[in-house]
Amino acid sequence: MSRIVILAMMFVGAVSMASFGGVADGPHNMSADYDIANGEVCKPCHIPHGSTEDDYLWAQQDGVAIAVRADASLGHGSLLCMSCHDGVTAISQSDTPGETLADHALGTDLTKDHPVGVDYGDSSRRAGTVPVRGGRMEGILVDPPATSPYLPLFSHEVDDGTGTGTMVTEHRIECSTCHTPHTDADSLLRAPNTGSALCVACHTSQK
Amino acid sequence: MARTFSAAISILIICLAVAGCASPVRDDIQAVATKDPVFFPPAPEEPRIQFLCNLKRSEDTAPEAGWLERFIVGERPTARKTIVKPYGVAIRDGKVYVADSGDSCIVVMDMRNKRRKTLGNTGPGKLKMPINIFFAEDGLLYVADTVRNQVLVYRPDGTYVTAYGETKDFRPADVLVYGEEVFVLNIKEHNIKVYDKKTRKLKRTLGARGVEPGEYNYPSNFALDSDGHILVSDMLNFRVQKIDVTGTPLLQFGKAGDTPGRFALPKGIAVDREGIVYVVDNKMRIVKLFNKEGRALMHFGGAGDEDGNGGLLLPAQVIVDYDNLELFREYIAPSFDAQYLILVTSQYGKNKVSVFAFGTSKVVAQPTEQ
Ligand code: HEC
Ligand code: HEC
Ligand code: HEC
Ligand code: HEC
Repeated sequence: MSRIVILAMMFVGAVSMASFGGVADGPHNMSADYDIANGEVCKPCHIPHGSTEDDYLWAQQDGVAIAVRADASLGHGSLLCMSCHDGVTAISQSDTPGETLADHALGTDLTKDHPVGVDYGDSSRRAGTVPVRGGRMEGILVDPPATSPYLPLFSHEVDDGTGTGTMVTEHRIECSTCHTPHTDADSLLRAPNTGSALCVACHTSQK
Repeated sequence: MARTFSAAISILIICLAVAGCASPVRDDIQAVATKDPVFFPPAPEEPRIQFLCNLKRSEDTAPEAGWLERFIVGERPTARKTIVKPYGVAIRDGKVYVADSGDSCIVVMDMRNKRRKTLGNTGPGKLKMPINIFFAEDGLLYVADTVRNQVLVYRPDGTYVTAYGETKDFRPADVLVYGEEVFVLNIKEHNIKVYDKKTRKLKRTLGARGVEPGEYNYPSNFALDSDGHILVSDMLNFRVQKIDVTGTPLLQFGKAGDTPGRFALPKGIAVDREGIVYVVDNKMRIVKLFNKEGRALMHFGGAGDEDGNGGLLLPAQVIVDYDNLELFREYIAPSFDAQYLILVTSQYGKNKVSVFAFGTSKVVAQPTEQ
């Protein structure tokens, strides 16, 4: 469903869409010919899903290529961002997805080292202070606002670790929780961080 | 705790630190393999590539520090224990060289005596963001650094020799040396700068930003084939281009997509002696093989990095090597006739350096049904 939306937008002419046109004016317009109408601007992140018009000469079994497509290609989580923010194409974002907060080494600039790929947890987990390296951080985490500013969490199926094969859904904070590529706002933030406004949307300042 | 002992402990720490600098500490390198061989493409296809093992620094797998060690040196910092964020890789004379962009150095793993050291971490040759590395025929190691915005040159023992670089509009993603010329892939200007090896002067610039043949859009890696042609991974044109040393385009293949002949995000590239081209597809977590004409042959890698069975996570660079197969002989399946090594780096996950071999199955005929 959502794929159809993207494809449709890519080919109908994304520039007319107010909410996505920002890409064309921002640092994420990486197309060499600025061919917005053909979705060139969107391709670096939204790869067009191909049909089966080609195959491998050495592996002609059905499904070899398709299987990879389904489970290997990076989703919209932080890994997508990391694929280019690798220190070569764009500045490296030093965070490591999947690290737990306990072993997440804090950089000197917190805003650039925010943990990603971590479960936001339920309200009982967030009731106290946040566990950080060498202690706990003051400030209670509240539910991220669902509207203004809109800070989405991303669901991710994981094994619950009980050995029974039960899957649970985590609601993770990813790069796209705070950033959105579809904007021309400063630092591609979903909301300005003036006076740490973005941070206190989740971290309340009281103890 | 034990405040009165703190002076004594400090001295102990200093001794340990000094000893640690003088010689590499307990530098065992681990090669971690699967119990049963993993082949690509999977059966019933004819196997062409075997996953051999993952290389790790010993500390990645080291047991918890004992209480005495904890008492003396405190908790060992975890941040520097693993290869942090590798990109380029090279292998020469029994040693695997990994450019660790996250730890700002080159990790050298001596596979013969299982020792590790680092180079490029002090003095004028101190690295900041080493990306791709290349050994010239004369044995010099060339390193492209995207924060120093220079190409640095070292002797294999780590002695710094010299640096190449422009003052502006220069971000070297990759480097290679061919004959008397040094080629630098400048991702900032989407072109290739060619320098004279002796004078270090810029001789010519190949290509410019664009979509036509011979033009590039975020080229990330390149490799030399045995005909002396250069294969460029033209990342955000989602294609591979073959050019000659004057920049004349000879061949293009691939476009954006996720089918066998297309790329979601091409990065690292390598060519074997027969002309088979290896291209990392970073987003698909695989390495694709193409023949000389650009026809897709197969892929290997995929998800499953956690299990260490040949899976890749944000793979960056691929290289092939014909000289060091012996180092990994013990991992090669008896049924497999290995011809050369393939090394792939992953920027994230548990398995940052994966070793594969290209070859053919020794069993020629399939067993007939009884
Ligand atoms: C730098 C990467 C990037 C670029 C460039 C980009 N997008 Fe996105 N897009 C994302 C990410 C990440 C998400 C999911 C998170 C979000 O909604 O912000 C997304 C989500 C979307 C969605 C919602 C799909 C869903 O699953 O709900 C649409 C529609 C979309 N993008 C359209 C576009 C169009 C049209 C363009 C080109 C003008 C474009 N995008 C360019 C990264 C990108
Ligand atoms: C296809 C490659 C690519 C992908 C994927 C990508 N980026 Fe970028 N990003 C870039 C480039 C190129 C720049 C320009 C900055 C530079 O030259 O270093 C940039 C710049 C940025 C900036 C700086 C904006 C500014 O105002 O200067 C932010 C923030 C950013 N990206 C966040 C993200 C996030 C979040 C994602 C994942 C949704 C993402 N990027 C995915 C290539 C990419
Ligand atoms: C908790 C919110 C948050 C998360 C999560 C987050 N960022 Fe940021 N990021 C920020 C803020 C706020 C800034 C602005 C910092 C500043 O202006 O100094 C920023 C700045 C950046 C910049 C530099 C932009 C510039 O203008 O120089 C990049 C690149 C970037 N982020 C990429 C990422 C990537 C990639 C991820 C995922 C690994 C990520 N961010 C996750 C909040 C976040
Ligand atoms: C969408 C909600 C959200 C926003 C917005 C947010 N945070 Fe967080 N932050 C979290 C969560 C959740 C954790 C804890 C992650 C965990 O438990 O592993 C966290 C953890 C932290 C930590 C501890 C990190 C560590 O490595 O120990 C710091 C510091 C932090 N946040 C600072 C900030 C700053 C600064 C901002 C503003 C740029 C910000 N946060 C914005 C949700 C958020």
